[in-house]
Formats: sequence, C-alpha cells, structure tokens
Amino acid sequence: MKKAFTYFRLQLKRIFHFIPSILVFSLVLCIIAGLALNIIIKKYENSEENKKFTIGVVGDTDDSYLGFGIVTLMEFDVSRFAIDFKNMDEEQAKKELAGGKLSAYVIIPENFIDSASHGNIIPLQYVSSSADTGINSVFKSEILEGIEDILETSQRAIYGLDKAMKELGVGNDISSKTDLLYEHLISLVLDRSEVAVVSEIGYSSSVSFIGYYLCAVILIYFSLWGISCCSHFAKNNNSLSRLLASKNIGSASQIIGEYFSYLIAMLITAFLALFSFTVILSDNITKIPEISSVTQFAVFSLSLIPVIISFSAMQFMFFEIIPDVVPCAVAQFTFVIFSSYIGGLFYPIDFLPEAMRQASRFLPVGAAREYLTDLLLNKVNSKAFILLLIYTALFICVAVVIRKSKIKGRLSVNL
Amino acid sequence: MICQNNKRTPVSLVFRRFLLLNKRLLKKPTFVIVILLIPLIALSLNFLSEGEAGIVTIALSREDENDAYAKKLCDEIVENTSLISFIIADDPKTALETVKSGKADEAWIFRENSEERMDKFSVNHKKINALVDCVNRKDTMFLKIAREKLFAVLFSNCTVPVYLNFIDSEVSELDGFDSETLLKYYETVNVERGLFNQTDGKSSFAMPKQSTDYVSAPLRGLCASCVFLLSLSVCIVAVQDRKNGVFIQLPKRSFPVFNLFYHISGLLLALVTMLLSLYALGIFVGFLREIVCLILYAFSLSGFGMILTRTVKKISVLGTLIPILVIAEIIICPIFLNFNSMMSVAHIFPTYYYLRAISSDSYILYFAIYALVTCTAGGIADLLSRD
Repeated sequence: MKKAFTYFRLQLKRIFHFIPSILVFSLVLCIIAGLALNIIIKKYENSEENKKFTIGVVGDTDDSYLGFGIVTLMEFDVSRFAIDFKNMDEEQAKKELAGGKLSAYVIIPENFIDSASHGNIIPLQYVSSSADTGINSVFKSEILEGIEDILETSQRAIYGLDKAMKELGVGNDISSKTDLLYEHLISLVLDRSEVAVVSEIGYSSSVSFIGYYLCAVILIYFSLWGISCCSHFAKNNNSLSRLLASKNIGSASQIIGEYFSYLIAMLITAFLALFSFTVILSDNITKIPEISSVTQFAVFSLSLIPVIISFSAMQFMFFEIIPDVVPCAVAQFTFVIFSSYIGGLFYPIDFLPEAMRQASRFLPVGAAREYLTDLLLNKVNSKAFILLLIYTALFICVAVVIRKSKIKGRLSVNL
Repeated sequence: MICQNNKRTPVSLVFRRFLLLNKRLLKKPTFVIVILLIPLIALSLNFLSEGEAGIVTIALSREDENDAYAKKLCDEIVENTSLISFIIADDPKTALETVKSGKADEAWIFRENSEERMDKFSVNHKKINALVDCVNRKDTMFLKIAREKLFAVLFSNCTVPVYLNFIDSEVSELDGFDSETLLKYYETVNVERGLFNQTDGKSSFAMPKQSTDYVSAPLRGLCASCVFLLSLSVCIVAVQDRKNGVFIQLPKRSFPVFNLFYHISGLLLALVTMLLSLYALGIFVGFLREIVCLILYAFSLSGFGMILTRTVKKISVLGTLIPILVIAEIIICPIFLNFNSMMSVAHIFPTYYYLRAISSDSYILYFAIYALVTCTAGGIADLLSRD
C-alpha cells in the first residue's frame, strides 16, 4: 500500500512537469469553445430583435400593391414573430447576406404585379447562401413550401372562379369578382393564425436552447482534453511497468496511481479553463436563462466533478488500449466526434431519430449530457449519475486488464 | 550479366513510388483506422438516421375520433415534413399528458365538428371559430415556425369553402350551379408551382436540390473532416521523413512536385473510399461535379499540408496543432451549423471550399484558385527552405 502511494506521489510530480503544455492546449480549446458559445448566445437569446430569420426584399416597392403587401407582411402577418422582412437594394442585400445579417433575400422582378394580375406569375429569385446546411436548409425549404401551398390554393380559387364564370357563360363582370375574392383571400392569409388557439400549460421543465448548448460545449471540451495528454501517457515501453510489478506494485496499483495523478491534473486544468470560460463569456453568461449569476455558474461548475472523473477514466483507457501517440490522438478524436454527434452535442437530442436517442442513452457522452442538463434545472438525474459511475469503474477495469496483459507480455501492440 | 531491358517508363516509376508510399502509410494503423472510419461513419449515420426525426415533436389528436374531416386534415399535416415529428395520441387527454411529460413540445387538438368550423371560419376568421387548440409548455421560435405548417394546411383546405361561399354570396350569376360543378373548376384549373427560384446569387441557374434530411446532411462534411484529419497525419509522417533524411537524395528543385505527389498519394485511398461511400448512400450531386470537387480537394489539402509542414517543423507542435485545426474546421465550416460571422475565417480551410463547391458553380472556380494558390505557396516554401 505504501509503495503504491509512493508511486502515486511520483506520478503526481511527473505530471506537474508538463502541466504548462497541457494548459496551453486547454486554453486554446477553451477560447474556441467560449467563442462558439458566445455566437450561439447572440444568435438564440430570447429578444425581440433576434428573430429566427431575416429576409431581405429587393424590388421596385414603389408599386403600390407590392409596397402595401410588404408593409402588411412586416406589420400584420403572424410570421412577423419568426421572420423579419426588410426592404433594401440588391447591393446591400448581397453584403448583408455575405456578412450573415440576412438569412436570404428575395428579388421581385419588375412588372411582377402587372404580370400576376394577368395570370402570369414570374418566379421570384430566392437568394440564400449555398453554405446553408442541415437545419437551416430544412427551415428554408419548409417556409418556401408553405408559401407555395398558400399561393397554389389561392390561385386555384381565383382562376377557378374566372374559368367557371367564362365557361358557364356568366362572364360580364369577372375581374371585379376575382378582385373581391382576392381581397377575401388576402384577409384569410393575414388571419390564418386565428384558426388555432395557442395556450401554455405552465413553466417549461426542459432546459433552454442556450443552456443545452452550454452543456454541449463543456462536454465537447472535456472529451477532447485528453488528446493533449497522449504524448505523456500513451507509451509503448512496458519495461517500467514490469519492473514495478516485480517490486510488488501490481497493474491495479499502477493504473490507480497514474489515473489519480491524471485526474488531479485534469481537475486543476478544468477549473482554470472554466474560469477562463467565464471571462470569455463575461456579460453573456447571465443571458443563459438557467444561470442568474456568475456565482451560480461557479456552483454549477463544481457539480461537473462526476463528469470529469468519468471522462478522464475513458481517456485513460484509450491511453492503455492504443499506446502510441498519433493513433491514440486520432482514435480519441474520431470517437469523440462520432459519439458527440449521436450523443446530441451537435444537434439537440430531441432533433434526432429514435434510434439515435436510444443509442445516446448508453453512451458516456449521452449520460453526461442528461446529467448536466438536469443539473442546470437544479435536478439530480440519479440514473445518469449511476451510469457515469459504472462507466468510470468499467474504464478503469479495462485499463487494469490491459496493463496486466502487457506486463505478462501477452499483449504486444505495435501501432 | 546486366539485364538489357531494365527501362522504367515514367508512368511505371510514378506508380511504383505511389505503391511504396502507400505501403508505408498503410502499415500505420492510424491510416487504416481513418480510411475504414469514413464508410463506417457514413453507413452508421445513415442507418441511425432512419426513422422519424423532427426539430419539434407534436402530439396530434382529435376531440371526436369519428370526425373524418379532422382525420383527413391530420393525415395531410403528417405527410411530407422534415421539420416535425408526430406522436398520434388516442385522445386530447393523452396528448396533453405527452406535453406535460416532455415527450412532445406541443399538442395540436382538433375540436369536434371540424368541417362545420372550417365552413364558419371561411366566412368569419375569428378565434371563436378556431379548429385547433395548440397547447405547449413554453412557446418557442421553433414552435411558431412549425405552426406555419399547420396554418398552411388549414389555409389550403379553407380556400374551398371560401371559394364556394364567395360564389354563393357574391356571384349570383352562378346560383343555378351545384357545388360539385363549381368545385370541378377549382380542382381542374392549371396552376403551376415554382414561385421561387432558389439560387446563391451567383449561379445563373437554380442550385441542385440539397437533401433536407438534416440528420444525414452533415455526412459529407464529416467524411471531408476525416480526410482533412488524415491529410494532417500525412504532414506528421512527412516531417518525420524529412527529419530522418529519407528523401535526402532528391534534388531541391524537385521538392515541390515530389511533396505534392507525396501528400496526394497519402490521401488518394481515403478520397476514393469517401467517393464510394457518398455514392452508396445516394447523396451524389452528379458524377462529374463530385470528381472535380474531389480532385480540387486533394490538391488543396496537399497544398495546405505543404504549407503547414514548412511552417511548423516540430512534430510535437504539429501534433498539438492538428486537433485544434480539425475542431476549428468542424465548428467554423458549414457542417452542422452555419456561423455566418465566422465565414471569413472559414476561408482558410479546404473543407469550406469543398462543401460550397458541391452546391455552387461559382465556388468551383474559387476552389480551383484556392488549390492553385496553396500548392504554389507550398511549392515556393519548399524551394526556399534550407532543409
């Protein structure tokens, strides 16, 4: 026992020699994470100015019908709560689209209204960034499809009336009737939200979008942290392990000694990083709905200890399984990216199909995410907590078994 | 006796060098892992992404189970949307419980006598004649956008009674004709969709249709990131070889071409695997476009790698920089989310140009310029280097 403790102290001394280089990597990672979270907060904070989409309208809005239509859209249509329409010229629209201030812009061609009144709809150019991927692309398609559905059925009614009156031989006053029907339909478009009554049944028990991504960013940071330690822990040479074993410091004592020194270093670096994180976020930290003060964030940070313990055990297991620097770093990195995606760290877990949600529950990342998001709501998810503990024990056991095999010479891995 | 026919053609020489380089690289498990990872990630994501997914989950129910009109409306709402995943609840109480328990974001409960209500609403657009109760825990932007889908379906169905009621009240000349006859004109009139022509502002024609399956949309980006990671691993091997003097016999003037060949050789297998994976998953945008983009990606990754190996000469620093570069690339490039404010930084990554060029004609030109600039810069760095 005394020898094992001595070994642990030596490992601690060793790890403190290279903490500065680990800190540099952690700081860079922390800066990237903090900047990403700052952008997410600015994009999704719940303010009137922060609509989901801003769409530019480019065209000759001096035409009274078109100008009226656009003002109506901006001031009266129900979509104004989700979409902001802005009048501008094409040059400004291009600039703002490139700069990210616009989600897209619509170019209304000349004589659009005139042509439309004669039944000829000139297509509108809907200009968006070709970089739109994933969810943005889905939103764009759904909104455009909704508009096309409304327009199609409105046209059916108007042209249907026009055709009926002509073919049934009652075509004396067709244009005034179709104009009147058109007005009825415009009124219906503006009142379309009256078809549903929206009510809330009480305070939401789920974490906010920004709070969710706070947890996701923290977890991705902790997952990737271990890569910086690969050069210090992923080693090919087993001679020291065999020597220690011959002096009655077995594989379990070695692993526990090394793991705890690694854990202490990770805890120190993690809290320094969280402090830097707070500095980078600064005022934005209170814009996270679940965080009312910096003190509350500090308390939340302390509760991250079970996650840090579990993730450091996982990384330690990787060091044992792949005892070569580059393969170990690559394997950890690809595992983190893949499991983060399934674990709901890139897209919220509710956005993913059922199969992925089920798979996520059994991943360490998924369990950690559930634990953290409940923590933000001041709840303790005991299932997730127990799962993290089980994973920690499992990872340590696997590391011990592999070390034992290496000491006995049964496992010789040359990567 | 010396063999008289020991002549090697340039092609066979290049092929032999390619084989030898790949043999060395394939002996390292890193490369094998990453190459195998590309189709594995693609297939796994494709498998897991099957099944319903949605940005919001709606519990759908009807007050009157026998209301055929409400059922028709529900069926119409459920089909063809990527935005919403639905839970069909047996009754309104179950739908509300689903919302309270957090399994659904909102419940849409169709009131009884929906057809009658629709008829009344078509005349008087007030909430007193509302058809649906939408109940949530907290109204969010996503729910507001999802409700537009509901409004669009209900509006489309409402135009029929609006049309008929309008004719009934305002077009007395058509009084003698029954609803069936009048509806025939509504249903058979030729109306073309295609109000919007989607472009990126530069292309002269509409962009190729992109997948709206957002779960597998990042697939291409993830595969490209794997290849990017591999190209950075090739840089470590290149620096190691340079340090060990493996190619010391080569004249300096051949460095640029040789290094370009070296990097491309290391990437070729991964790129071919990626191409085959994308084809197997059916997200090809066109064979020619895919090949052109892949070739440009190979050159731009090689150029990027060449610049990196001449700028960072220490393997330990390179090893630290690699995960940072790949993480930054995954966040900044439009793979999962699109951070417009980081677009200027994204321009340094080859993956950004690759993803843009796949969907935009104009970006193919920019991509070619980027590849040319990086390869040229890498070549100049090679010529000016002292080692």
